[in-house]
Amino acid sequence: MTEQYRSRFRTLTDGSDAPPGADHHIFIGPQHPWAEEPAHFIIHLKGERVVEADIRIGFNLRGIEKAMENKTWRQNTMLIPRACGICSAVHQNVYVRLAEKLAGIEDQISERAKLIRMFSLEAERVHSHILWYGILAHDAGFDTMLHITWRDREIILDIVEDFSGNRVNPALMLIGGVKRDIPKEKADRAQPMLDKLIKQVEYHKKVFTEEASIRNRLENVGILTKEDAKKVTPNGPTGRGSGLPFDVRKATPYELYDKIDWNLVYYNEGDILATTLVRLDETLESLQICKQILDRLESTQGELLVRVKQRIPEGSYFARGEAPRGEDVHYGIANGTDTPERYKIRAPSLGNIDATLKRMDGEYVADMPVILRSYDPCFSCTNRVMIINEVTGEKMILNQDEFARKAIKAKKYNRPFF
Amino acid sequence: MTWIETLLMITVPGILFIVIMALFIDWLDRKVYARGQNRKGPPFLQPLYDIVKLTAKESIIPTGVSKFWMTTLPILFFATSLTGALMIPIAIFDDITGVATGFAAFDFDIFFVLFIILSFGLLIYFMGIVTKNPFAQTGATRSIVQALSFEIPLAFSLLVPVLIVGVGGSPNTASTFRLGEISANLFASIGDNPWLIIGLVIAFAISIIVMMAELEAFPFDSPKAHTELADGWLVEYGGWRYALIILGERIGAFFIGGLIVTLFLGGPSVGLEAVIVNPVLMGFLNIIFFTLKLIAVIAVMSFLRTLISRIRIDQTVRLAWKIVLPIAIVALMLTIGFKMIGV
Repeated sequence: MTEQYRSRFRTLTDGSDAPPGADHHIFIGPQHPWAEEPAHFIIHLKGERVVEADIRIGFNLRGIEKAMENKTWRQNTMLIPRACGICSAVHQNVYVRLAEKLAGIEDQISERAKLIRMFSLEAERVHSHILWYGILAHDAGFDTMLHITWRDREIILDIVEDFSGNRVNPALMLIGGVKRDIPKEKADRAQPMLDKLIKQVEYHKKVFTEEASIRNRLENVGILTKEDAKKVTPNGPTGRGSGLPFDVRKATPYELYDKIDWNLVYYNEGDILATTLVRLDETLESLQICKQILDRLESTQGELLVRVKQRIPEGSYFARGEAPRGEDVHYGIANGTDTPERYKIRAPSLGNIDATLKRMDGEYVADMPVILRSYDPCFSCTNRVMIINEVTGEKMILNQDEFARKAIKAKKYNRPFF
Repeated sequence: MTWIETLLMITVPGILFIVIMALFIDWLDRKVYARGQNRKGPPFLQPLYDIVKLTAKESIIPTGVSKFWMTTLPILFFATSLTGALMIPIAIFDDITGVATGFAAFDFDIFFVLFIILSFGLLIYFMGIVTKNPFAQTGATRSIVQALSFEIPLAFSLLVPVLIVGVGGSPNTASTFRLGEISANLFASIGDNPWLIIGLVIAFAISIIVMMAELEAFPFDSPKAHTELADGWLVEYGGWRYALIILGERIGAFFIGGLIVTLFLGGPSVGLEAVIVNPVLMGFLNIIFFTLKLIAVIAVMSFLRTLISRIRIDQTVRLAWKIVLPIAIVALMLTIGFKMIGV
């Protein structure tokens, strides 16, 4: 960051408030082949080098938090996975743990139910990481790797589908336990598939570390040193690639993460390759956690679902979990009725934006897709709050009905929204 | 030009043949690329569908951009690549020398071919720069940097077969530097002095890399890198202009693949010139052999694309000057050396 603090979250998009030294500006997003989701990056360039980069978010507010206030705690169990397309299970897991704590039944959850939840979480981490490094290879211009990794990702998706009925949205958890059991024959069917996937992920790791052309695109690119990382506070694999060994699963263990044998992966280099290797190693760790869970499930018995009352007693609680992208934080307030008073989600992508913009300073514009991808951006999770700050400085706070009414009117009479 | 020549120029092996082959090359390239990536690949007529669909779409001219240049440059690009493709010797057409020549064949036409390859780079630069789009301008700048970097290795690698055949084509005739002559006499010259094949193989490998760079094919596609520049210099072109550019690029692929076949694989030469005397049958065999050799070259280029990731523009320039150029010089020196020892 420069001496004088300059906000990287922008509203002006014509480059008129650019930093000194930049001679032209490239806009990535909200519609760009790089971006699957809408975000607007303003890259200030001098030649082929980046001077600074800014971001504008807020294209994708879906009002999930507001919608949750109108539904019961039980209904919200099925709404909350929709906060994110990929990491649906971790949002559900954090939510049900929060609700169980408020209802006071967190000690009654059986070990078997916890193991099944953990399997869902780890399988999700595996398929999210494989998806991520496939897209990273695509961004670096290595389409072959994209197709190979996504082919192998089907293995874990088949397992999840076998266990839950859905591919990416297993929705196995309920307040008080889990919805479905994992019977022995399904577990036996999954074991050889997991072995096969471990072999494939080891092959992926070999490609990323030994293929010279892809390694050249990732090594020593977008370096975020440990000192810088401490200032811009990345979380999840972004931080672990920069030598910050923090993982919620180790720091404050939830479910049964303290009773399972696994290692915390972190690298000190801080470049994109380190971030990639963190995720590759984590995939292997998660796969061996999955195998351990399936082994333990054979000898573990217990009630799958504990009875819980519709009305959650008054109180508030703060729960967090380790999503594939980083630390997922939920805060919920219960008012004694069957609906939440207020619910707040802070998804990990938001916490990683500053670190990613920091990475870009002084890099080539050709490395932008790779660096932007490095924190696994997920903007449907990121947009939780809408701050309306137009050029005039006018601020408005809209509730859902007003927002919908204005949008319909703007569409109908073909006039601007505000 | 007699009426039969005009007819041949329009049909086989003329413009129609070239356009059909260009579409076929497009399909072959995408199919091999897809199979290398464990995908199924497009159906056989997909390139034709693409072109037909694109011509039906709207072609937008951005505000403040010259309509004249956005119309002229794609047509010029198409015409340039078609001119280049018509220079490639495919079948017997010249009765006087008895070797296969292209429609446009004249003395020293190999230099004209080099000029056409360079003008690809120039036209791409102008096509990008006139659209006034940051993506297009960045892509156009990268394109010209890449084209200039690979120009010298390209010229050196094309010089190797010329030197192998000899300054005079064959020892008895005067120098002509014709493409058709080089392709017809290449294997005979190699037969006289088998050591020359070392330089030829090295130059062949170099030329495949250089041609991929000239075509902006996958590892060298940073001028139109999809994920960073949104197709670079192509970004503002749509509709029939885009279709014309795509078709021009594919004809360029035919031209460049055909150039490699001509200079390094003996072109349409069958090796049965002494046995078959009927020129019609010979021309037919020539077309088939040329097509088979071209398919082999294009398949190799497509398969190479699946193996590695995109190379950044600074890495491309470093590759061109530090690795490709020295190897090209070594091939050239080997060829000159063996030629001097052998003759």
